[in-house]
Amino acid sequence: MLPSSVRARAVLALLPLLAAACTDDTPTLTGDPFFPGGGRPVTLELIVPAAQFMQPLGVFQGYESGRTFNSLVVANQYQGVLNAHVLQNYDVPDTLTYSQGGVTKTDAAYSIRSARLVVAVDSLASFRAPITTLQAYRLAQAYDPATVTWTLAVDSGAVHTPWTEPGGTRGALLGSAPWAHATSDTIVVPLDTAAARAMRPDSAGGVLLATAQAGTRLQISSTVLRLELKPSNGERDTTITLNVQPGTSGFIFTPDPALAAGTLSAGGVLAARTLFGLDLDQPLPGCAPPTTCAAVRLKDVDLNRVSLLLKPLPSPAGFDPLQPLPLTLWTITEPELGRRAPLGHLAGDPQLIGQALSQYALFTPGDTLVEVPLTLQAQDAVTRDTLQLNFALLGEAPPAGTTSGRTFGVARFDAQPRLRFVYTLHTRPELP
Amino acid sequence: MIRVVVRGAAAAAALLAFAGPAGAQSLLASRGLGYPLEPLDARARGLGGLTTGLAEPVPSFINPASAAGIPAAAFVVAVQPDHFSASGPGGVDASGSTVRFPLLLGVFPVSQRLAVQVGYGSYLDQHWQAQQTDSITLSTGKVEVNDRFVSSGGVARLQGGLAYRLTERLSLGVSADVLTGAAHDSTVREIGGLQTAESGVTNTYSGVMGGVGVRWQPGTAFSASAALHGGGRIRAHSESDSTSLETKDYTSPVRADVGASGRLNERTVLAASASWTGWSSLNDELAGSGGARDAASVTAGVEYTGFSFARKAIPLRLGARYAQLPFRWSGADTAYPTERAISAGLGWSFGGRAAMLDAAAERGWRGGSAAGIDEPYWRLSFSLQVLGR
Repeated sequence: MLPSSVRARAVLALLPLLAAACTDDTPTLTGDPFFPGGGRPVTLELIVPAAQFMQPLGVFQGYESGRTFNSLVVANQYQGVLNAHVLQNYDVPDTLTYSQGGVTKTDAAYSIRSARLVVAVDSLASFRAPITTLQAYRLAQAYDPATVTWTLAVDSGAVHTPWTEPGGTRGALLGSAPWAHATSDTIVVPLDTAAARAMRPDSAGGVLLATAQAGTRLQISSTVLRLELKPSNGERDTTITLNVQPGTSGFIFTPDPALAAGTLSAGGVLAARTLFGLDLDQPLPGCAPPTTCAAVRLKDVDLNRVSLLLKPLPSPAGFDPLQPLPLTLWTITEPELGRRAPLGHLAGDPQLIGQALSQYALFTPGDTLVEVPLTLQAQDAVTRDTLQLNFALLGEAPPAGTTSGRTFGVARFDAQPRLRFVYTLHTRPELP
Repeated sequence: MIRVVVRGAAAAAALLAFAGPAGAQSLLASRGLGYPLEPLDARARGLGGLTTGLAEPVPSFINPASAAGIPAAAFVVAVQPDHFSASGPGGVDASGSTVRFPLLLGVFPVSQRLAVQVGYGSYLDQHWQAQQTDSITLSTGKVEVNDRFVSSGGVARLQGGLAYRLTERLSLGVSADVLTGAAHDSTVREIGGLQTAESGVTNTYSGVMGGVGVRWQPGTAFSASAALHGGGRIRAHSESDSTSLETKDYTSPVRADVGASGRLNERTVLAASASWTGWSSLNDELAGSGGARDAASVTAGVEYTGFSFARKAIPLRLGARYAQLPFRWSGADTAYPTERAISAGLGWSFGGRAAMLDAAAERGWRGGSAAGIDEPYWRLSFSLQVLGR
């Protein structure tokens, strides 16, 4: 038998266990009549015109270039103005090294049975022309891949060598192939085998890709030169497939997208951005119209959504985004630096960073209104009592400066966006 | 003395540590000033909810004279698991469960005649919540909203008292209660695709009231007791983010309790009590939430000590209770709710009667068809009384 003091202590220990074993479950009444007076939330919406909150700071581009774009673009008088050519170099080896029957062989006299340029097309980012013929030309003039432009084959330091033919001096046509939108995402261009055999990185040119039809714009994800080789020292019927990746690859285009005065721009091949100041210190109606009452301040409400409402305008000719373009707002702390104002952090849900593009505010071609949220930034500004903010509107998903979510086309918006507040008044339940 | 304080404090601390937020004991917690809770131990619950009237000296929150003559320091703590389900017109269909601690009370004999008591007891429960799904129209069209209102808290009594054994037959007691507590009212609105809105208000309650009690024991077979509490006001102060919003004063209702017990034979005690609380003094103040009425209750119970187990006497108890509740469930055209219950209980002593564990189970019915709500419930009570000898 346990001493009585031990048993008493055991009882003490049992009581909390008993309490812990039971769970609380607060009963829930359903229905408006059960809410106390003043206990039902009221949500209101206010849309403020630009003149009331916005201070334009500038529209800039050139933060990126065609060389840092994540795809290649080929265009022929697209929308009457845009031309773009892809310039590439392939290094077809002088000597073929292969293994057969466990023996490694070297062959400098191999022959090419077939040569094809296999082109992966980003069909969503390409114009839906009825037919687009991709042409591969031999470049007839040497160029500097690091500095080449539409008019200059070399634009390095004191050396400025113009193309004989702007956009790349074309030599012989190596091959061509038609492509119809929605039929395939691959174009296979048969090439002249003798020309392919002669491809070297130090050769006079390389390959120029163009489209034959005016009014076409094609976006290319990747290319590879696929060769079917027959060794001279191999066993009978030996065929080897060799995939040659381009040594250098890029595209040149003309003209640059124009920055129109009185518009907001974001995204595009040159990574346009718009800088502006935003005054969040707006008086909010304390009740829904037609009732009139005193205005309330931002700190006196719960912000359900704060967003910029952007009205899309036509993009610069040739540079319409053919696919959804992510719009993001970034804080800037030194707006006086203008185009060099460094970006701060993403205004919005920080958990968005790294998420799928569909999670961002997307401008989709054909949209008549785009809403870019800045709710969390506004909530933070209210907490810090710093309601004058400066932002940069970018047309790409974070992290900024990467190729993530960039489009060739640029989004352009009316310079008079609106600011939308959806807010809920604090409830004041009455005492019984 | 020190030992009982240590044991009592240990029990209280252990219980409070596991207590957590309590749910409601009734949907009626949403009405008036809340659902009235009585700070009773499990023995009283087993006797139907007996508020006063037992012959022997026991710690009591209701009657400060009850502790007079207690032979040693005592500490009593009660825990009360509860479950109810409620239904009624207008889509009322809810259930809830909770564990509450209605009583923490210590009694310390200063002399053979004088005892001091201090304790913490429940008074009004304001745990409840309401929700509603609706839609609002924004510039983008209609969006669904889900509103939730949560009231969490209530009012408790911090009591100090003196019990004095005037003669062998007559004991007197006085007490002073500080009303304390708060209810946090929070509102949440979830809007489809938008940030959730949350705001809250804290209602703090304060006040004082006094009490007197008497116990009369003309002989060994009979005892009668009475107690009266009241006076003062209950002040409610509402604030949000340190901003004062509203202050309201309520009359603190007078409560009268009478009870008696008689020994039918050596092993059987019959006890009964009645109480009346003048809640109608708050009728005008609570007019906006349905008003208030005076609430009376009667209880009766019997305790049998002839049963033993493992050579220990196990007291068995049966009881019944009828009570009026002070606050309406619905509008002014509906009846006030009532509460009926039957109960059973037992006790078990430990450590040479240094500790007594009592348990009670109560099956009750609240509301009534005319009141617009039916709320059957189960309420268990456990209490531990530790004596410092």
